[in-house]
Amino acid sequence: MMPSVAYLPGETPLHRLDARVKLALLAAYTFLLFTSDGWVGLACCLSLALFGLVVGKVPLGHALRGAGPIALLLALTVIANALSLAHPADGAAIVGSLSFTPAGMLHGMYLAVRIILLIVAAALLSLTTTPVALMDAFTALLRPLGRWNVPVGDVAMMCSIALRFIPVIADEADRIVTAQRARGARFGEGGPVARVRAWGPVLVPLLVSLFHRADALADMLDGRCFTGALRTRLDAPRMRHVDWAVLLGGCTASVLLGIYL
Amino acid sequence: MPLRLEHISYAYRLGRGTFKALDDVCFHVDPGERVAVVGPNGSGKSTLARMAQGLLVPDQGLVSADGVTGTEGLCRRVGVVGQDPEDQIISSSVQDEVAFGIGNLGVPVDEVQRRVDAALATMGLSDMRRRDPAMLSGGERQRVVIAAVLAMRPSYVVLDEPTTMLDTPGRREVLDAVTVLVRVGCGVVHITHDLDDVVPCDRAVVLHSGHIAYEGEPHDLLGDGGRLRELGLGPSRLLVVANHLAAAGMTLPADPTHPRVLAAALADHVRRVGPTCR
Repeated sequence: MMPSVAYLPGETPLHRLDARVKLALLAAYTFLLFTSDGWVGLACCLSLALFGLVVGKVPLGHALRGAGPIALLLALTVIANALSLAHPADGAAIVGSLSFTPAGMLHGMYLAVRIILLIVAAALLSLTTTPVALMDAFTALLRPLGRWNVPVGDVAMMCSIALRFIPVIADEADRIVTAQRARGARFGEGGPVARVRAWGPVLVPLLVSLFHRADALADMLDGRCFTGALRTRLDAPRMRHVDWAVLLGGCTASVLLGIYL
Repeated sequence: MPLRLEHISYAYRLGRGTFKALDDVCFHVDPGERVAVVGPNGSGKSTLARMAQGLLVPDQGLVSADGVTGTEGLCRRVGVVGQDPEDQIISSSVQDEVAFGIGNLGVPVDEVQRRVDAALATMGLSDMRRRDPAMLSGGERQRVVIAAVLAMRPSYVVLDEPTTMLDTPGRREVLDAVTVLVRVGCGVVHITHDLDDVVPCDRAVVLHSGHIAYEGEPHDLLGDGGRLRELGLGPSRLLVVANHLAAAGMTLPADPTHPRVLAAALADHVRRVGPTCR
């Protein structure tokens, strides 16, 4: 199954923008989202998110998929803000000292929209950036830590391999599940304990297979002289004029809007 | 100077015991030579491959390539291609994968580009350079791995059962790629289970329980069914075909396990007696 915020291939200006700039813009957008106060600021953030969706040609539904798993949290945010124990003037009593306040509900909705906008912005980044470019961007931003002996090359390679092997591991797990099913294993039956136990015969061979793969991969990395040190990159990302312009424009606008809104 | 393994012994530690994978093995490959290493499971073939690249240090003996010893020197001179391309590809484009090893050598970017272009052209992958290796066939992926090894300009390439995970067309692709490696001057060690892979090699080596049980002409080995059985290897498919032809009345040539010789003898037989069967 594809992750809900997997990369959407495209050739839009947002796809072509340097991943480091997109990461910086996400940070700036988060700053704007949490420093601007009131509905005007939120409307401004909403406009920016919609602008990003249009430029990146990303369907709104696709960007909102990431919000699915936290729908309950959003609902709780609205409900918790709508309920009050303090009998406010505009409150309508529900039961005992608990009352419903329209202003509280509005505030809850404001907070929920803020979270949704943050999810949309993060989804815009992951939907328009390849995992490798994203990893390269993280590596570039972490590079200064190398001065304090942080193994940035190793960490970047580890993350990159982890991303690269997700589908391989999923395939492997699927093969083992199919093999176990063919031998009569039942994964969706019985109580919770029985269901968890049924996965034991899948996890053990999966782990053994992963160790074998890890061994082979380590041999390959050693054999190709990988040491974790900085290496020559063929397609090393280079900042274009437009990337610098978007970076400066976007960050400045976010900071100014965050201060004045 | 050849890739040389001199009096190599190595034992794996298994709990309190040990398993002797290689026992006083002497082995060499010259540049441009194609050597087949065959043997049953557990005979020490993969241990030999890892040792040739310096990834395993022998308990006794010495490994050298072009006179150089030590893991770093051996890794630069000996490339290894494993069984499963899935375990050997980490990049999301063919070009990046081929550039990975050279990039680690600290070669300038222009030189990296030149070597990548040359390796892709040699392996017939130039038009796939931007593609995701995950989207390629098994044979194509294994060719990407071979190109990645070739781009590092090794003097020797050890192929550890490179066709095991592949279908017939993929197998063909990889065997053609091995021929290309020999043509560009690499000394090739082809570790295999399939006796048919031995046919195009200059020399055959049989490993059995960590010892070299045979070293010599491939066709002498393939033609000796009794010896092959004794060494835990089945008869080659060519020998089986030759025996069937002999049983059907055809006079076999002196070297029936050479495909061209057998094909010529068969054509000659058909010309003389016509396409009849007994």
